[in-house]
Amino acid sequence: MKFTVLYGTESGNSELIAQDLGQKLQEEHEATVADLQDFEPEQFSAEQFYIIICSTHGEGELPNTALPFYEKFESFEADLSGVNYAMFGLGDTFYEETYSQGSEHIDRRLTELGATRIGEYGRHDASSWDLPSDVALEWLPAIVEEAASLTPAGGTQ
Amino acid sequence: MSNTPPKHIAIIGSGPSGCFVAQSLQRAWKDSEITVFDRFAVPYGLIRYGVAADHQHTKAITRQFDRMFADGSVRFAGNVEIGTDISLAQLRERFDLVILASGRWRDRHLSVPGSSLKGVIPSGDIINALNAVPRPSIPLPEIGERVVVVGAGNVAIDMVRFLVKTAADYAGSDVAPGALEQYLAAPASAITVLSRSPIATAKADVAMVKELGKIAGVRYTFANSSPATEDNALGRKREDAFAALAEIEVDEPRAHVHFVFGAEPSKVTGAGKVEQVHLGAAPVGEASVIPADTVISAIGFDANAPGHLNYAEEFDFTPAEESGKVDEGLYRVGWLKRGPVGAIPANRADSNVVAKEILAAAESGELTASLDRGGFESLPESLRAQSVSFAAWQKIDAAETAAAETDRIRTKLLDHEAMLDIAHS
Ligand SMILES: Cc1cc2nc3c(=O)[nH]c(=O)nc-3n(C[C@H](O)[C@H](O)[C@H](O)COP(=O)(O)OP(=O)(O)OC[C@H]3O[C@@H](n4cnc5c(N)ncnc54)[C@H](O)[C@@H]3O)c2cc1C
Ligand SMILES: Cc1cc2nc3c(=O)[nH]c(=O)nc-3n(C[C@H](O)[C@H](O)[C@H](O)COP(=O)(O)O)c2cc1C
Repeated sequence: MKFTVLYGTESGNSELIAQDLGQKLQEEHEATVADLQDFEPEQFSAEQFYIIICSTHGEGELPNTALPFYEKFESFEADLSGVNYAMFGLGDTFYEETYSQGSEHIDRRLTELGATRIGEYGRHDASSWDLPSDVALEWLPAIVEEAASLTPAGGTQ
Repeated sequence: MSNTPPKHIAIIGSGPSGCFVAQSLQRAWKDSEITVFDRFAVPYGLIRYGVAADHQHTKAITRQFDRMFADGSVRFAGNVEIGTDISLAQLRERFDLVILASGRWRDRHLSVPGSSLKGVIPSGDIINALNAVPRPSIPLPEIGERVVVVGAGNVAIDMVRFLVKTAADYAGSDVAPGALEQYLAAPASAITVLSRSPIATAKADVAMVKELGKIAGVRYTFANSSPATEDNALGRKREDAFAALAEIEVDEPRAHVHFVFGAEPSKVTGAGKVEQVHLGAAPVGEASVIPADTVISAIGFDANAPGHLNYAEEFDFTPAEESGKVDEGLYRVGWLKRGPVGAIPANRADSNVVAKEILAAAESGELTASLDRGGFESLPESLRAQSVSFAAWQKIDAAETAAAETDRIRTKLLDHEAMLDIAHS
C-alpha cells in the first residue's frame, strides 16, 4: 500500500502531524508527505491512499497553504471514483460555529468527484490539551487497517 | 558540489518567528546546532506575554515548539540578552549564522493635546501587568469606572474583554491574580470605544467581536459612520456581528459598552487628570464630549520605537517584506523584519521564506560552516552558566503550574530573579 500524506496548514500543526504520520507509515509502507500547495488535483491516483490533514482558519475556511490547491480543485473536473482517502481535520471548539470546517471543504469536493472516504473522520481540537500528533497517531492504525483491506487500484470493494 | 551548511546557528528571540525559523532550519540541516536565545528566562515571546491570558487556545501553538526543544534538536538559552550580556559582534564571531527574531512591540502613543494627563494609559501597560511580564514587572495602572478605549483592532477588543469580564470568566486562564483583583475591586461600568474607521474597515476579527457577546451581564450599543459597500463581504460580516451584540437583551447590566465608529479624540481635558475626551468627528447624534476618568489607547504599535534594537544600531531595521538578509551571515525574521503587524501564523510564513533564502545562500556557498566558530560551547563559561536551558524552564513551568489557583492553569512568576532561582536550583 502506497500512502500520500497531504497537509494544509497556517501555523504548522498540520505539517507536524503529517510528518509524524509519514514517519510512522514509512516503518512498514511506502509513504510520501507533501504540502497541499505543492500538489495538483491532476495528481490524484487510485494507486495511492491519501491521508489529508488540514486545519481551519478565518471563519471555517481553509488554511493558507491549502487555498491555492482548493481554488484549482474546486473547478477541477474528473472522475475520482477509485481514489480512496482518509481525513483528519484540525480546528478549535472556541470557534463554535465553524469548528473544524476547513478540511470539510476538501472532503466535500472529493466526494463530489466520486472519491471514497475510508474510516473515521479524525479531528483535533486546539482548545483541548491533547497534542495534535498524539491524537493523529492514535487515529492512524484503524485507517491503515481499512486501507490495507481495500483491493488494489481500480478494483471493487 | 555540495557546500557545508552552517554548523552553529544562533537565533535571537524565542517568540513564534524565532521558533518557526529554528524548526525550518532544523528540518533542512539535521546536523546543525541551533541555539535560540531570549532575554527572558522563559520561551515564546508574545505568545506568553502578549496574547491575552483568557485566550489559552491561541497559546496552544507552543506545543509544537515544546517538542522541538524537548527532544534536544534545538537548544533554548534563556536569560541571555544580546547587547547586554553579549554583543551581537561577539555572537557573530562564534556562530556561522545569526538570525534576529527579537520582535518589536512598543505601543504607538496617543498624541492629542492632553494625552499626558494622568489616566491616559497605553494598552501595553495593562497587557504587561495581566500577563505578568517580569523584566521589568510593572503593576497594573489604576483604571476608573468611566473608560474610553481608543482603537478598534484586536488589541482594543482584548482591552474591552478585560474591562467587562468577571473573575469567573477567567476559568482556565493564567491571568496575573494580583492585577485582576486590583481591577475587579472597582471595575469600569461605562466604556466607550472610539474607532477612527467605520465598522467595514475596522481591524477587529469577527470572531473577536462575537466573543464579546458570550460575556454575561454586558449591554452593547454602537454608532457607525458609514455602512459597508455591497461587495465588502467581510465588512458586512463585521457589521452583522456588531448588530448581534446590540440585540442581546440584558437586565440590569454590570457594564455598558458603546462603540463609536468614525470617531477620533481631538483632545483630552481635565484638571491634572483625565475628565473629558473630546471628539474631533463623530457620527450624527453622538455626544462630542465624553466624561471619562481613564483613556486606554490601543492604536497599534510603533515600528520605529527606540530602545530594544540598541544591540544592533549599525543596521537598518526599517520594516521590509522582501529579503531577510541584514548582512553576511546575519538575517532577521518576524516582527523585527516586517514590522509589528500580523498574527502568529504570519510569522510562520515569513520564517519559511527567510529559511529558504538562507538555504539558498548556503547552497551557493555564501554561508558555510567555519572551524573557527565553536557555537554555544565556545561562549564564556559564565554566560553558559547564567543561561536557562529548556529543562530549567520546565522547572519554572512546573512551579507555575503547581502554584495555579483553582480554575486557573498556572500562576506566572512575576519576578525574573525568582524564575532564575527556580531554574538554577
Ligand atoms: C498585545 C498583543 C496581543 C496579541 N494577540 C495575538 C493573538 O491573540 N493571536 C495572534 O495570532 N497574534 C497575536 N499577537 C501578535 C503576535 O504576538 C505576533 O505576531 C508575534 O508574537 C511576533 O513574533 P516575533 O517572534 O517576531 O516577536 P515576539 O513574539 O515579540 O518575540 C521576540 C522575542 O525576542 C526576545 N528579545 C528581544 N530582544 C532581545 C535581546 N536583545 N536579546 C535576547 N532576546 C531578545 C523577546 O524577549 C521575545 O521573547 C499579539 C500581539 C500583541 C502585542
Ligand atoms: C485566526 C484564526 C482563525 C481560526 N478559525 C477557526 C475556525 O473558524 N474554526 C476552527 O475550528 N478553528 C479555527 N482556528 C483554529 C485552528 O484551526 C487551529 O489552531 C489549528 O490547530 C491550526 O492548525 P495549523 O497550525 O495546521 O494551521 C483558527 C485559528 C486562527 C489563528
